[in-house]
Amino acid sequence: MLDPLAAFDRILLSGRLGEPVFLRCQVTGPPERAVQRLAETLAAATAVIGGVPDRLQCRGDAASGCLHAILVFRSGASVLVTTGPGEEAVDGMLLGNHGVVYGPGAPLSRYQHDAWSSSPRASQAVDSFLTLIHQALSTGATATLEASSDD
Amino acid sequence: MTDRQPLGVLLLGGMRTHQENYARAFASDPRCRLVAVADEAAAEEERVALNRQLAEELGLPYTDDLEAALTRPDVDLVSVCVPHERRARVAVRCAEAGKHLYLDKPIACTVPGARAIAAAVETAGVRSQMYSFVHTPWARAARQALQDGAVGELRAIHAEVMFAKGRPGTAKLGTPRKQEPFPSRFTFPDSKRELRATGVYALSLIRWLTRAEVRSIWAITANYFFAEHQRNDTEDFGLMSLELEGGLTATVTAGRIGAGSHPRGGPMRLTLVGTRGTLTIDANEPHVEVYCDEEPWTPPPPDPNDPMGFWRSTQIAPGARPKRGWVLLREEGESPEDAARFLDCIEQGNEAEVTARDGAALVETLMAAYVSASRGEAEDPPSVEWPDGGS
Repeated sequence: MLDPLAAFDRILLSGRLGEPVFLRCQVTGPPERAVQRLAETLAAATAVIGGVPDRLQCRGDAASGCLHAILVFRSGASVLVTTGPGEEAVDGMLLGNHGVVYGPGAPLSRYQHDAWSSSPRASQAVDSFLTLIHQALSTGATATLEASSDD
Repeated sequence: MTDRQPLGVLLLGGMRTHQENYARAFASDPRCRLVAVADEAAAEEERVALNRQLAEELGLPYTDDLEAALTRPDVDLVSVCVPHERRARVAVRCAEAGKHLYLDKPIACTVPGARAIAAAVETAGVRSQMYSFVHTPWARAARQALQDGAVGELRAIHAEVMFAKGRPGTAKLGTPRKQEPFPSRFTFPDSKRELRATGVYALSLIRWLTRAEVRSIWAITANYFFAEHQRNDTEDFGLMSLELEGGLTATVTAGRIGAGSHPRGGPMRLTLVGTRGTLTIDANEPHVEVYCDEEPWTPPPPDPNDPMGFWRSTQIAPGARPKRGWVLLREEGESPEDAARFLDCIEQGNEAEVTARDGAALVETLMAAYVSASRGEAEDPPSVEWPDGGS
């Protein structure tokens, strides 16, 4: 899994936060990598929230790397990911119904990606989000996600 | 020294409203003096009791003859905190009487009502200001950063305002909230419509920083934390995705997330995204952290009349302790800054930085957000057909 989200996931598993309901990730990096990083972060966020994603709203300008996406799950949980130019870093906040974990912005070099990020399942999720992001940005409409086979 | 008479302030609305804070702010400024607490004669019985309670605490007279109060020559400005459902009617009447308006946020609960306030202010030629966070140090820092070109040309703003209050974990989870497009009730003792009540702070910061109108809004509302909100069919959390004039985009994250969810009042921050970089300005930074032998902070026992701890009087009630783990580097105190800046505007004949006209635009965006959350589609706020009603 990606960056501090792995720690968020471990804290969730400890039960201290209750059910995850909202995750915000603020990602910075080179503008030309923004769409890819947005897709990667949405895929990782989906793994943290753990439900079935339903709708994706995405706005911004891919060329300048200033994007945001809101992903809504069938459970009602939601994710907000924003991207912008800057040093490669991620800042996150996970709201559970009993508590919050804050992951203040830190350079990505401080984190190690674990096996999840390079797994076929993660790669498939990232590819799906890339398609949806491009679709949402070109049409301006909310993208509806198709249910995966293991819903 | 000047021999100018202090401005007379009439307070509309009493305890368990933001008037608890506004009255203190005006009372602390030597340029004005509190004259009375008032409300409409037909005000709700419980509201009248709470109005009288504030009047008593401040040593002021209470009157239910609003018209008579508005004809008093020693009343120059009115601080309007009556319940949302009556706010537009009362504010319009105050402007028509030639009084400057200090408006609680949001200024009204309908778009026609908000527009009526802005029109009445402009027709009467009085000054108006909606309470907001634009005079806070962190908002000023964000504006200075933009003016200094710290992020290059601004492309996006992400505003997050959430309050750490209430006891969470009681909402039933598992299904998305069904949002009605045109909510009509806004006053509850134990919940607020948080997309609107806290979202207005974030939205007003975005409007103030960009001076750009909203072209399109997409929003969701949710019940993540509190059974009280769910029982009243009011959301405790909201998200907005905005497209503004000039190709800018923005997001708003707003809500109430539980008293123990933050070391201070709640996460509040602005992220400015520009062509040259990204900058986050956090209301809770810079701070130092204190760890000592004191008992850890625990939320106060719920007040039966204010279980969510909305109001100042509950926050300072016996048994309530302030959070003391994080201490900001800048001097803290009860800042009367927003009210003081309104007095500056009246004295100097300047427009406020968030006027009734701005307040009306904010109401339009917020109410369009509910329509969007109901329909699952983006909305163009000026194109929404609003139900009649100007209260």
